[in-house]
Amino acid sequence: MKKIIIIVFFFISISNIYCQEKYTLSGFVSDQNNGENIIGVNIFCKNLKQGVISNTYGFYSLTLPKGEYDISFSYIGYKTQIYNIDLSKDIEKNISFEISSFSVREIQVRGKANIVEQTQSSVIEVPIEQIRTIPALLGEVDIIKAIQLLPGVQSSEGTSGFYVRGGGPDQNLILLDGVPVYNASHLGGIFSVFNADAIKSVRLTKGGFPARFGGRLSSVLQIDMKEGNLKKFKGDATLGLISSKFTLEGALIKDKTSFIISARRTYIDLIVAPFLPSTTDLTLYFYDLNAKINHKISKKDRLYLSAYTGKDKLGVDFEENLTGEQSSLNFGLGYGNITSTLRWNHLFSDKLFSNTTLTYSRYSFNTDFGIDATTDEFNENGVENYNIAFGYLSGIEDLGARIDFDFTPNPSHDIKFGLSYTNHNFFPGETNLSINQSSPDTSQNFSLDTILNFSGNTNADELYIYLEDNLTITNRLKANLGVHLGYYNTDKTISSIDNNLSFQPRISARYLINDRWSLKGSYAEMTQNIHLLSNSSIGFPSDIWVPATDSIPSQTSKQWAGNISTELANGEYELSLEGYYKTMGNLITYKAGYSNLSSTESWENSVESNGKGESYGAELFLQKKKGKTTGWIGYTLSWTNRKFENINFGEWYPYKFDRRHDFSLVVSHKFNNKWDAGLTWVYGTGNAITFPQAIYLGTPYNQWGNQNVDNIESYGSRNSTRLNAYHRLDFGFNKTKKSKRLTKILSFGAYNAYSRKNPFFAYLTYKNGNRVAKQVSLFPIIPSISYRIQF
Amino acid sequence: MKYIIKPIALLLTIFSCGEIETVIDLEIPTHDPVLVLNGRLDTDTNIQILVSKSVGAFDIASPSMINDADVLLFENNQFIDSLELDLNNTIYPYINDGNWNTSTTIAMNYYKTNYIPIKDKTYMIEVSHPDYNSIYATTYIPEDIILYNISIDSISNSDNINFQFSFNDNIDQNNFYALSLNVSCSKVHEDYWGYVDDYDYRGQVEMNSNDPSFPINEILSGYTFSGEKVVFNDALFNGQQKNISIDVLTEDFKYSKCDTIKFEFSTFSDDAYRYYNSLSEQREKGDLDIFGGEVVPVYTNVTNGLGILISKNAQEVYIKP
Repeated sequence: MKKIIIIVFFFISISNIYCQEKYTLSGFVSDQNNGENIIGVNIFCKNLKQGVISNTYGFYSLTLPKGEYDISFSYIGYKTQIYNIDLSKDIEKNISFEISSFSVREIQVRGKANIVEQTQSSVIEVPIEQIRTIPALLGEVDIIKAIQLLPGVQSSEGTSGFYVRGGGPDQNLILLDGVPVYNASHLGGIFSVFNADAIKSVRLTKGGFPARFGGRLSSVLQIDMKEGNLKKFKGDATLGLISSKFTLEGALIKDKTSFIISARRTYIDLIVAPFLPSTTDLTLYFYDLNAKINHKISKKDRLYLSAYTGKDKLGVDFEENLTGEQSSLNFGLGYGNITSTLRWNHLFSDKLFSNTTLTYSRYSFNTDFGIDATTDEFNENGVENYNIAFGYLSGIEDLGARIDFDFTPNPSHDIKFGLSYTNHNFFPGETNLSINQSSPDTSQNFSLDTILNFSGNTNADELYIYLEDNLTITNRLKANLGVHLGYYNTDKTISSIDNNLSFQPRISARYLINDRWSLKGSYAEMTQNIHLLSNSSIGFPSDIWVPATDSIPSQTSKQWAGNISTELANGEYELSLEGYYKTMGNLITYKAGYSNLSSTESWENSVESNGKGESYGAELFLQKKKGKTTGWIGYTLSWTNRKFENINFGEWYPYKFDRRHDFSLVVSHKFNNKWDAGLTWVYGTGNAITFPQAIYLGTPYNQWGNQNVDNIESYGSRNSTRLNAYHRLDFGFNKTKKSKRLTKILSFGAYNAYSRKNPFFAYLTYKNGNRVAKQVSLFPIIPSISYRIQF
Repeated sequence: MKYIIKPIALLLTIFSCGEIETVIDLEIPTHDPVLVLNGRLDTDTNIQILVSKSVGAFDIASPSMINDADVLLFENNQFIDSLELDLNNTIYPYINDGNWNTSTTIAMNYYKTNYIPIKDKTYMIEVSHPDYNSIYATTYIPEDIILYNISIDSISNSDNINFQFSFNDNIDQNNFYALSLNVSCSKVHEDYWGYVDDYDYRGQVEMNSNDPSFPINEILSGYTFSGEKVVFNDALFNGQQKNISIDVLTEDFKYSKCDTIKFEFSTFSDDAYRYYNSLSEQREKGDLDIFGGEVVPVYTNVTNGLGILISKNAQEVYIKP
């Protein structure tokens, strides 16, 4: 408590330092073409060398001493605007940005304030325009796959999961319009759930977390949906190899109310159907639906309602009719997310902005299996019938509310504070099993109808408050100081309130060496109150979210990071080198040999708990943001280890995704108004696996009248073997044809262009009497073609 | 539309039908053969152990015996004896490679001493050989356990016979137990067509229980455990009186038709518990499989080498006659 008082007192005291007569320039920044708010616009007063950045909703507030100033509004890809402002009273100024004229010839990677100026390190914003130019599997533009190309982010073949700085896939908070998305994968991870047509911005925070973030240890991925065009009606449709999608957006009331709706569906089942026998029905598809309405109630109030629903369905129905026997078999599997957000922006004054949000999120996975058979073959007296029905359901449902405030008393302080509450309802696994057998001989009849619980439902409450100040200490030194105070409780918790509280200090600072070089450092403590149970490397939809409990406490982490950043070639390139060290506590993992596909034990008895983790490394990021050719080179050198008392005999061992080297090259080039191209090449050290290293004889024993002896395999240390390195080249071309009303884009390309057989997993077998290791690879070269029309 | 769909499907099929499985070389740490020691000490028999050598997991050669090693026995750190190779009694066990490919046998000779180990003592075996690093392992032989309050109820429930007994757990150490019910009975068997047949059965019978210390391996029978042998530890009753209750179904087991019924109740070392559990778990679940869990490593207590030195104090408690 003492710490909190000191920090609050510190914030209050420094906000009162400045007492001269001041006025505020404030307003919203938007795109002239579609009215969408622009995040991260740099509003700068050259005379005083002071500035601010527009927030997530395009709002800015700049308070300066009374006077006349040249204020510039700049954002890469848009024309910089400079206004002479006589600040002798509070002024409200909304800015409409126009795309710079040279962008018709060049790809402009739009981004916020330059890397040297930013206080926060470990943050990367990937513009959606850039993501669109990155070649993708089967032509499906994929936000998560683009994120996987960034330094510090690891992935594995064919999955939508990602691993940030040695953290697990559950340690990433994926927020779609501020709502957590618990499973971001379609088709078991081949695609992600985010339809790029409906997305406005993507931002990944890997460390130096500001106090407003909480709930996960390793990263926050913020994905914001477009708000809808406030000016005119627009459409966008894409026909692809395995899916098609469309987006419609426009103004319901011009400059006041807009909408956007975007939908996507795959049709693999329709393609495959003609090749299946008539006795078999196949269901295999996924769909997404994004919708959002944005309404300006007044100059000071704005309302947003957004929703997302997506589902994967896999089903097989098989029927067989033979003489004297009829049988049917059906199998079904489905999983998906539903999220929705109601958001209210309110401007209390030109210095105080608030955002109130109500959220709902649900992820569920279900599977069912049934057999029904009737036969008269074995019984002359009548017909025998048996049927088996199996059903399984697991998931998590959240209801949440939060309020965030932005308070800018003067250019030296940008204070954010707020409160958040989430109610989680975990339903980690309920199995229904029914078996019925009926026969003319009633003594043979059998019936069973039962429910098995992997774990009972649990309700958990998660509450946090935060306070942070982005303060300018001198012209060279800026810092973001904050504290995040969390409270967590479940309906099964019996521990004292002190155990449920978490105090998470956050600090990051930037020191400008000169106009082109800066040094940054950060420290963040995080707590995560939920765990993901996963015993495969793939990230199955059947992975189960479970709450922290008295016996399986919340995960914690501490992360230190240091960074040096610069701009090269007059701002055309940005270069950063960042080192980090992260420790993690209270990690869990399944016990060795455990498989959640076959066990009936409760989850708390199936895991090793109180695990430790450590991760450290360096990340190099060289990005070209302007010109005909844009893109980046990312390189990560990293180590990540785990330690559990009952695994690897209590010794540290490499985490499955410990990857010494990770390299990515992303290039986009615009040849002319018609043609542009993209190319990516990635390389990563092979994943760590546990493979046998020796064979030896065991102790002889008697069994079934024989004396036997086991050949025992010695596996050595956990994860001491490496799969082969992963590398892949993708390329794609876009041909754009514009007419008065339509823009037509033909895209084609290839994924894994030189058909590298990348490891998916490996196993042991025998070939010509010799023992060999075999690997399974997923994707050879896969060409793609799609056709897109915008109107 | 079908003119478009079919070529696309064909294209996808062609490109996705490439060989997805490939034989690969992996960066597996090199394995230099090490000595392997296997021995099971119990209070009824003289000490005998086996010495062999390991091979790399991808070697063409198989593990083989070492018959020219020096093997020394220590009791509570005091040298007791050198073990000598017994070439007169060769055994030929079938090699189980995990897939019950048991057509191959191996000739094995024990290193032996006439010394019989004593309960509540710690034993160390040290093995040395000029071509390999020396290895050693230690094990402790637990104290006797006294069973009391033994009762049999074959009347209350016609579907099963209930056996109960109690014992006191030693609070000073981690204790591990194995229990089986061995019988010699005349059993009745009725086949599918209704023919009834009497036959003599000698061996273990299936035990059923809901004891929380037993592993859970049943979900449908109303019991949490069902099996011919149960291995458990004292984690839930350390230092307390433990009551055990076992049901044996009477479907094909009649108390009156049994000449002999006895419990075999063993206490054994922590090492033995970890070895047998890890070996059976590796066999049962541990193969590399994308859907499976992590491999269970087989426990070894041999320093600088592989294998296991375990100990057991076995007792037989006759219920009938």
